[in-house]
Amino acid sequence: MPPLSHLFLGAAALFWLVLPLAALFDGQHTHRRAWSALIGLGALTLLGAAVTVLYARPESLTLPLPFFLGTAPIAFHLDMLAAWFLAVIALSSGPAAFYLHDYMEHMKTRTDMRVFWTALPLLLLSMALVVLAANALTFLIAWEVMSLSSFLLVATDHRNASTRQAALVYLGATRVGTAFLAGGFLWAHALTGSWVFQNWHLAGVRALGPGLLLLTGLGVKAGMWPFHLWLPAAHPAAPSPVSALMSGVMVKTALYAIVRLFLFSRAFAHPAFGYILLILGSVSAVWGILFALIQEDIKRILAYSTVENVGLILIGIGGAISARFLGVAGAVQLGAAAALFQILNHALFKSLLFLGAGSVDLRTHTRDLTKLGGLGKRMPYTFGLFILGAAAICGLPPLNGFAAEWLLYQGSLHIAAQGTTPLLRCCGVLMIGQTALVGVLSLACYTRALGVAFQGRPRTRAAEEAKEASRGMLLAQGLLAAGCAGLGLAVPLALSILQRLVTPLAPNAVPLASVWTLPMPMLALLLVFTTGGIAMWMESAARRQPVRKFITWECGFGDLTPRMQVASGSFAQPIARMFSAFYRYAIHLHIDGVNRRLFPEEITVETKTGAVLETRIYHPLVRWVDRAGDWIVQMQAGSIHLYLLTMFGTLLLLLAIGGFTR
Amino acid sequence: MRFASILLLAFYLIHALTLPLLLAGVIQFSKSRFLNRQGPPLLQPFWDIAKLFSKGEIISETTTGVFRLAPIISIAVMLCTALMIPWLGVSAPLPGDLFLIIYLMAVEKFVTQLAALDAGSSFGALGASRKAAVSIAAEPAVVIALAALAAHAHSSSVSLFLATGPGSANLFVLLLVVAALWLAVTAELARMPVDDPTTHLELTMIHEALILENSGRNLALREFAAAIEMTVLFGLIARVLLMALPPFSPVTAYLLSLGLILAAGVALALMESILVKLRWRKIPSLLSFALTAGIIANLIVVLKG
Repeated sequence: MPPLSHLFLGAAALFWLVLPLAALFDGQHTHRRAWSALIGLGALTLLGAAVTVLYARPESLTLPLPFFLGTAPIAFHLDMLAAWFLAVIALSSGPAAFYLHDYMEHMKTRTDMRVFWTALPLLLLSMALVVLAANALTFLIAWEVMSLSSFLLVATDHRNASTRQAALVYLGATRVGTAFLAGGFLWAHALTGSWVFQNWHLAGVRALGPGLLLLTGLGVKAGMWPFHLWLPAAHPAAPSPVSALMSGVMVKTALYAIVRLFLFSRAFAHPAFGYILLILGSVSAVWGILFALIQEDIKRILAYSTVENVGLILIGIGGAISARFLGVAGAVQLGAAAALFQILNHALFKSLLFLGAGSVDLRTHTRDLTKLGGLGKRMPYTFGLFILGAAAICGLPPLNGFAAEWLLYQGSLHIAAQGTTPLLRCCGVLMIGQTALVGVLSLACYTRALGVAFQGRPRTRAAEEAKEASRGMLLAQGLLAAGCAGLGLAVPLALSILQRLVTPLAPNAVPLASVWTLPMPMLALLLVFTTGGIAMWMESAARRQPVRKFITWECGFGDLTPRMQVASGSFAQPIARMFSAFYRYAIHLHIDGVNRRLFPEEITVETKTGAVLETRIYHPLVRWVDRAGDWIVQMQAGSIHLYLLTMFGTLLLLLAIGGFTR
Repeated sequence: MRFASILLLAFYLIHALTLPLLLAGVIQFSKSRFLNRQGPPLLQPFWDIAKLFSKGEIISETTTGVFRLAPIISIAVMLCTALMIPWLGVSAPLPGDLFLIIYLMAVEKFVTQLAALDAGSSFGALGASRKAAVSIAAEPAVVIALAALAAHAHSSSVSLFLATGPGSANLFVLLLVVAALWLAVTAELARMPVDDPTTHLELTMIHEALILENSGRNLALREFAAAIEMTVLFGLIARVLLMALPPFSPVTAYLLSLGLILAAGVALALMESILVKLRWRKIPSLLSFALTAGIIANLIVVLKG
């Protein structure tokens, strides 16, 4: 009798493996509803597996002999950490299943849906396998399936040139990431002689080489600065449910590997990793949200905000690793718990926001803020759910984002108050200030997105004629929103699970339950009752004196046009100017007319922002690679002599290497 | 015990509902006197708010439900915050946490800005955009300044870190924290030198531009929430200042807090009478002083301990 978790996992795999076959054979793709249901069922069984593992002991599973990877078996390991991430995958992909059917309807004329319905379950399955993999080879194969299936999904709308471009950028990023990852695994194998993660115990200088390679490879996938460039390219191009999965879950698999290898199993133990993650996490957080603030495309805003959230999570992980080396047990536990909690939270609210952006895209055919406006009246439920998601991601209480940010603050405060060295305590203070800055920047960012897209008057006809999203799409968002609100109130429950996860890291620390003393349910009740009471009183007063509707105040100069509203660029202008050094922000004002100063006839204002990283580093790099490619292509000119020479040269090289290493 | 806590709750609620208006009256009154004018009576804000509450609302037809809900949420949030901070010198009825309070105030900011954007008026949007920009400079300063006290007390519970006795906290640290809080809080509250609440040219303003579309009861709630915010934050600054002195009996502490809150009002009126409004671009450098003061306070606490 196999354990219950195996049954659940087997069922999930079955559901998600049947789907590609069905999709391939059903060329007319008539059963999209059934396929969505299969995705949902898979997610449900995966959640079942996660729950059984969370409340039982760890399980291992090695596939029998015909399934073998040369030097290592296909092996899986199900422990609590893996279960936590399985739950993240399930909770984010389950609701998306309700969304898929209606959303993909409009894509069917533009692309071959069989590819989509094959790649999607493969992506889900491979994410689960990445989390479960017990050795490096299994991990790498699952990782590759994940990268390639997500590439196919990004390229769904491939008739569009910009989508092709984005998909190529993404493919390039995954190739670079996998190369580093493979290098790191090979190096670690050379040092330890084993592929199994649990047998890796490298410490000191020996850990640095493979560890840094792995961090780079995982950082590319996680969207860590400075490797975050693929996110704002790929997320807008992909269909929204796919962006939700990629941003909400897929980047988390890279974070999983970081947590697993650098924090939990201590495969690579060196304090430098903690500092590197802290610094890069801090830069990612600030950089991501600053660039989110000036984007015009809703999904690009969300993509950059993912960079920010990944940064916050990395701060938690990096803080925990450094605190562990410096013997601040309380901060280890708080940092790890904050990171793991934020991973779950971000999967929920970022999926919610991406699905909301997808609804807007579907109903208005644009994601450009400058062409939206006034959607709140036309799509009231989407608007409400988007507000909730935005509030959650900004960490507003009593929603779930607050709990994770609070834990991060507590960890920083712990370091600031009880750090073992003065430098460490100063770091704690800096982390507090930085988290506060990131919080208030993200508030500005989401206020802007909401205000320009959903409020005011529609700026184009498309926005004016928008209709509410379908019920299935709203249901998906509603489930995720309920998750955000519920998790915000059920923090003690989440903490009790997290406690069991992080206790091995810091056995002597004060339990999380006694750290978290905030009475959130009471606060929520108090807020709801006060708000409700005053609202009822306002309504009864409004019945006596009806609320009169009138035009928006226009200073008596005649009707306002939608163009006179604030634009997305002008809302961000004061902030962009404050941080102009980061953006290379510039305003070009040009005034034309006979008497320019007093009677201008034409005024043009153009703002320009540039991303230093792209223009100064990546573009030259890509150009260089391109040129190298041109040069290498000459070898593939069809000349048989050249091919023979290449083969002979390779043979000689291999022989030489073999001879020298022997 | 139960009775005492209910009494404390009522005590705080009564003060949260009356003192803000009195403070507004004191500011108006002393400002007039500084300008050699008679000025309105001290209790004028009570009549003003009563008048607004008795009036009907006119709202823009562009607005969504957010517009009418936002002031209600603001005031609910502000009342909750007022019950969490021991701003009256005696312990607060609800346990308060520094970060919870900051984020609750962020809720108020969020809904206020959304309401301002709701009517599609460029004035409201300008106000919201400026409010966001000022917060970006001011809020980290507030957090950092208070974090110095929290790091000293090893706890983010407000009542706990305000109760750590005198002498243990360095006087210099307290003064730096008070200076940082004063600068950042006056900016957050949209008072001089960041914003001039007396002019009525919406183009240049923050607070007035934010509430341009509100009217009647809606406006009353909005103004009330802003007044509570000011009083509670002044009370918090007063409490930090009182930490420099040896502990008092609850009655003395209460009277001193009350006196300091009103004195802060007079000081604000004085500032608004003698200062000119800063150019918009200079505001970040003004607030960087607050941030620097907060960071120095932290460094003293952290490097000493």
